[in-house]
Amino acid sequence: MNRRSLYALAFLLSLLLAPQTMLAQTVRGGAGAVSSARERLVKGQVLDKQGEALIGVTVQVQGLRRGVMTDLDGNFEIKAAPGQSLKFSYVGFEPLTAKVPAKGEVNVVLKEMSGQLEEVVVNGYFTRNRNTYTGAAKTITNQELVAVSPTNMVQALSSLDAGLNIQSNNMQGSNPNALPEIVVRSTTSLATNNEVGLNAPMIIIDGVESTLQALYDINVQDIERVEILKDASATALYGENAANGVIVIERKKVTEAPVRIRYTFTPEFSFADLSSTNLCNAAQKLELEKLAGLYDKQDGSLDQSYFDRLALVSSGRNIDWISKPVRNAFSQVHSLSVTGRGSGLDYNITFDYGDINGVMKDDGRTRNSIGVYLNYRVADKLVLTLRAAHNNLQTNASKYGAFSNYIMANPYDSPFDEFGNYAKSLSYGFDNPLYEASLSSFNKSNTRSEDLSLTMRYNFRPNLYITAQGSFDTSRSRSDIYTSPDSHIYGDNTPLDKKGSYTVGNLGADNWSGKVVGNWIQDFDNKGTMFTLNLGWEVKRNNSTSAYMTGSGFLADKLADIKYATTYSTLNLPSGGEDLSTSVGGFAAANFIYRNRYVIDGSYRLSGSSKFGANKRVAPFWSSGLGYNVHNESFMKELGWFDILRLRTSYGHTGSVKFDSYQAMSTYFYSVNYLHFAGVGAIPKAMANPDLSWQTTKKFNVGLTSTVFHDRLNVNLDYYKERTDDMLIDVTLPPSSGAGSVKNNFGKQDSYGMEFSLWGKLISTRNWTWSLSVNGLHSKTKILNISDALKRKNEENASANTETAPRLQFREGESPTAIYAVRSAGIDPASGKEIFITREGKYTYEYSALDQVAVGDLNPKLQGTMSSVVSYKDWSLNANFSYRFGGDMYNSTRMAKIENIDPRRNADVRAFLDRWKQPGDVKPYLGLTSNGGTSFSYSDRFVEKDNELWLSSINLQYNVPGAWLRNFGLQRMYLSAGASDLFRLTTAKYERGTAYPYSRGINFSASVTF
Amino acid sequence: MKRIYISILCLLSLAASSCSDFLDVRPKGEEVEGSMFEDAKGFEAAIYGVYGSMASNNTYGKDLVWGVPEILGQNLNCGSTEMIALAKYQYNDNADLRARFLSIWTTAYQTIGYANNVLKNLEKRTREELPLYDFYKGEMLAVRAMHHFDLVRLFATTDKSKQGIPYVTSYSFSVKPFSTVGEVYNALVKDLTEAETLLEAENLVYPRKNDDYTRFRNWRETHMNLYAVQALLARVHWYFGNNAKAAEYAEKVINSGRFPLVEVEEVPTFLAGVLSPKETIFGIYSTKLLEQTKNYLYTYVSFFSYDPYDNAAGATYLLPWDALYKLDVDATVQDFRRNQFRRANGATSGASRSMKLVDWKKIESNVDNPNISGLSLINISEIYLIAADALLATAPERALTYFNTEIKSRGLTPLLSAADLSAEKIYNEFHKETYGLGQHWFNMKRLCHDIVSNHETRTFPGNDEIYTIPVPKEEFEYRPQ
Repeated sequence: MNRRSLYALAFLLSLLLAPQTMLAQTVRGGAGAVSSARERLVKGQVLDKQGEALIGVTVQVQGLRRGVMTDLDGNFEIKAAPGQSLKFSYVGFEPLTAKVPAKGEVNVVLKEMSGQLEEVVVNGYFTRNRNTYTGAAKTITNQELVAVSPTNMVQALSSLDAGLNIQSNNMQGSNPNALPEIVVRSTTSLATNNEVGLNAPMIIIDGVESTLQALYDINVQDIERVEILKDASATALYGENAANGVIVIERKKVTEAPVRIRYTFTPEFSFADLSSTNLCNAAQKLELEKLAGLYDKQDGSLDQSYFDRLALVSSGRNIDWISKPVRNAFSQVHSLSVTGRGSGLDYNITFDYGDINGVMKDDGRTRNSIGVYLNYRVADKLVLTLRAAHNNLQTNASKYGAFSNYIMANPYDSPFDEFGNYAKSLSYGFDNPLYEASLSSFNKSNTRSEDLSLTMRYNFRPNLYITAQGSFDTSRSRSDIYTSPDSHIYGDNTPLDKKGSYTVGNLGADNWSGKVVGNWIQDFDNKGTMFTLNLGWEVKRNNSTSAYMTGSGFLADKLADIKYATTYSTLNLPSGGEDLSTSVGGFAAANFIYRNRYVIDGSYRLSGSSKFGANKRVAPFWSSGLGYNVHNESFMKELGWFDILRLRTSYGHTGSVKFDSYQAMSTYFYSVNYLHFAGVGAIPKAMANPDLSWQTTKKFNVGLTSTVFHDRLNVNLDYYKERTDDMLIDVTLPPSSGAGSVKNNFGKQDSYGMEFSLWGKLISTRNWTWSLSVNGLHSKTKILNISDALKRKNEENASANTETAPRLQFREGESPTAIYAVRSAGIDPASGKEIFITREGKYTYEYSALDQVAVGDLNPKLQGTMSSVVSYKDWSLNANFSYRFGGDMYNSTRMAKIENIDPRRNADVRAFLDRWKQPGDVKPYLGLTSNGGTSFSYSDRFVEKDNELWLSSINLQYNVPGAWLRNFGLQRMYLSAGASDLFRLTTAKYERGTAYPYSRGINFSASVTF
Repeated sequence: MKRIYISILCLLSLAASSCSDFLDVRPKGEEVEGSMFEDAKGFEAAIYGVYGSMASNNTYGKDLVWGVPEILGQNLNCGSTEMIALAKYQYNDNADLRARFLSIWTTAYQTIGYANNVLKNLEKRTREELPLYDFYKGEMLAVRAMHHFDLVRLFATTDKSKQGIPYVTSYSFSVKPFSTVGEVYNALVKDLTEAETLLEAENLVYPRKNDDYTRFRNWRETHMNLYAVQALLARVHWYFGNNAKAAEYAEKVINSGRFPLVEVEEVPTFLAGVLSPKETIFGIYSTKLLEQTKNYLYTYVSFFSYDPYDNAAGATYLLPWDALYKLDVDATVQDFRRNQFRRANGATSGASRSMKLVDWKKIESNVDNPNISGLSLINISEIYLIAADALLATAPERALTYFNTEIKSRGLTPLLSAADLSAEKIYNEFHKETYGLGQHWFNMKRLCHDIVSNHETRTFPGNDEIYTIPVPKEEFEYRPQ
């Protein structure tokens, strides 16, 4: 437990909450109730259980409006008469009263309340007491994360909060170098051109805007807490970046004094999960080819190649291709931190090393970082904090290429030729992926980044302080892609000087930001009537550049360096990109709570961004919220069994600007395509839209938080409704305007959803506890308005027929994740043809893309997790099940691997069964053809219910008892063992992980603190 | 306390004041419109961009010159199904052809947009700031008019009361309304006469002198210069039937003395991939033209290349190129333009190729032509013939002089008297002279002439349906009703 930082937080909070009347040495006569003659100056110290000083504890003389706060060493001085009581209160600690003795000091020890972290909400600008908070925010602590998964942060977050979901990417499987896409609650943008990350939440690490990649690579051990901000009240201060939610991460500060060294080792073993592939063996495959007519000759006999292959199969050849590129991978993460405190200086130095290996051979992701945290108090007034980190990340893509190549390889083909070398090609002239893997080709990248942030806090008065933060981060990365001259992509006719290519990419990013926030808290009556005001201003500048250069003409496979290039590539000219954006924002947030019960809350932000159009330079965002702490009502207190019952609601406008930096700008560019005899010409890049503005998402939220029966049962419910206006989509103009289409704020979309979480402690004895929890999200999104250009694109997407699954379409009145296919009445037993149902409901043999209707939705009706935590003494077992119900999927495995197969490639073993063969067969699949696998017609025969339940993680932890440890000079030690994705129940049978397999993992973790 | 608040407020307001500068970011390698048009250099680059974009294949680089009108005019033949549909005037049957019409339409309006953007930015400047202000404005008005003229000739009837095209004068999102053909004519005349006034200080001389201190004032034949504007006015008035005005402007150009006709021996190659330093009034500079003309006109590729109708290989076209050059002339006289047709180097048999616009010397023996490489869009010879035709009824003697001057330079024998000159002779001579240049089709259209279809080997009367290519349907699809 990271106690010291809790104290710091609590201190911060106490400042927020401390009434102005309680300044040290400020005495305002308590109506002259006690005569001054008997009073004396009482001194004392407040400590916690570990003997650490508590800073900022409120010490009050009971019955009087007189109070002081403890200083940095936990000391206080107050005038009080013997016999009177002193009341000590501190956020996160149980309050305590002590009688003033006739003489001597009053030294007290305060006890922590359980779960105190959740008592505040950190939003990246300031901290609010949850008591006064009206937003929907989920707080996740380090312990919770580690208990779910010490290795996969994103997975752990989505297990712990139903509102955060990872978009499944069946293609990339468990590729460690493929970043997951995450969505908080519902999407707000349409990825009409398959843009990535349009709906990604904003990520803030220690107050600084960061990236999804940083979140993905962060060491779970270094995290103090994660805050997932969802509704308008929680996010409106982020203005134009708030629409998709905000994830605020606070890293650990300082654990304990004077010096503590913590070392954590987390090894993980992962195994490819190939159980979902169900391929033909060599004999079956050959038979399938024969049935498909691949060997039929004009005269009715079979081609000789059939008998050649039959001989191979008879001799027992059955190559297990899918096992060739996979491995059992070992990954390890080491983390070391040294923390301490002395002379007003806190320090925390962390070293992380992670070597993550996926289950495809020779891929990898290696990261290491050094981080420094320094916190220095200059007297009582000024606190300076410095965070600096150096990170290094290396990624390496597997040489073995796409896993799908191995799924498709025929089992009667040997990867070797008769001389024992890798064969360049396999049957039917397909490339041998193992030959490709034996070459020196590679695709790797190396990124170095430095992050620096300096935070200053100045206390004018305990209830008035200002924080300022400046940050700078810079990263440089280089990517190297080498394609060997021996690669199959170069045909025999390619001249030698055109074979092989090496592309060097240099990418850089420099971002800086600054912000100033003023905080003022006014207490009115000591009974929980308080006003809080935060005023802030921030500025940001993000700049990134890239440059690529390609060399070609490599004379030998081994010359894998750009210096061996003999010529420039004629295909790839030097290229690059550049992106610069700036923004400024000012905001105000005010909060008023009356007697700890009624809360009213409002915030307003004005944002300016270089991305906005010239006519829309300043964007206003706002939110307002109401809260009601029912549990503080006296009638509820009498009832006795409600610990917390809080109702809250909020409404506000948030925004999103996920478009190109220069989208709204009218720019001229010079080009050799516009040469004039007298000079080089420049033309407008595109017609700029000076009215281009942010997308606005209006968010409404109503929620309930409750804790009942003395922390035995928690119920949280949230209902939200969102409307996105001014969605950015392409709008087509008549060509006479001079521009074909422009990005414009045109679309409109509605979403609503329901989030719930239930937590119950079923058993709680001295040694045993058992708690169960279940959470879930039901959400629905509907497109209200799209442009003609998008309608046209829908038509284009509908008539595309080369992919194994239908493309996405965005139709008005439907969900953005709807699946569009032609309804099917099945296979006609007489003719073996599929009977389609037209838009009008007529039956036809003719497939027409125009008959596609929404036949399902990828978005599940309900998704979430169920978990159980059992602990016995120092042992605890945590099991997390994830579930997903009510969605649909288009089962492209059945489409491409069973029905419409290319018989020259390997297929699912089910390709044999259930096929129509002759009139009268009532079968779910069409007959076999010799030239399948190229053109697809999408019917709802392949749309299936997508219901899944899986054990996403199970984790056993053991905290080695402290008394025993101290014999060895250790402070703390814990061990854990866990597994991920152990079992899975699904309604749809499909190949999981097409280009990269999914994996199952077993992880261990050992942590010692000296 | 108060002082603190004030200092915070000051900090905030200080930051806010520099805010708008901070938010004005500029992409590298591109100029934001505001800074682009800060000085003459920027304006000139933008104007060069306009001329550069005119060289697009979709417009004056090909499809508005020989790519489409020469197929329509039955001069060139291409075997692709798209071009066969075009040669048969079946404008709606072929998707590729409809796409081609759309790209002509779209690209022309795009260039009009670029010119309009220059004009819009000129309005924010004064003549004091930009010494060549009048040149910039005059040239851009003329470019705008030239595009609209070719669009209205291609996509609208000659009937002034019928729907024409949108005459676009701004570069913006707004949907531009359609004008009638008559309104387009008026707008053309308005833009061009304004341009004529603005370009009064034209410095194009003969022989060409390109030693002006200002680069922009050199190589004027690559700009819409004063004479190009006057020549275009002649074309416009002639097309819309105002012969008096047509003659007036044609004579202005001829009498300027700046565009002498070439000598007979120059005729075969004076337009071969270059602008003529004598006859070209306006042309576009392009370096890509060589490759382009080589691919389409020089090399013979089935279903792809553009070939002159030729009966050499046994075909029986009604008016193949060699028959055309025998019209109205004595067989003993050599029309030097016949040398603009020849077989490609090394080809011993097969049809001749139209080499008029092909720099075949460069292709065959890598000999550089000293003249500016490009495509000549308005030539003095055409203006002579416009003058002759426009004056035929009112001043036949002058008409004869212009006609004779023109045919003499092509190696033909001058007519003896005005009585010998007829509209038909001028029509035929115009056909011969503008072969490959895309003007013949519009002359046919002007007269609603009978179509002598080489492609279908039949003659049939012309009508609006044949002479008007339908406006691409995409133009109406996104138009609010």
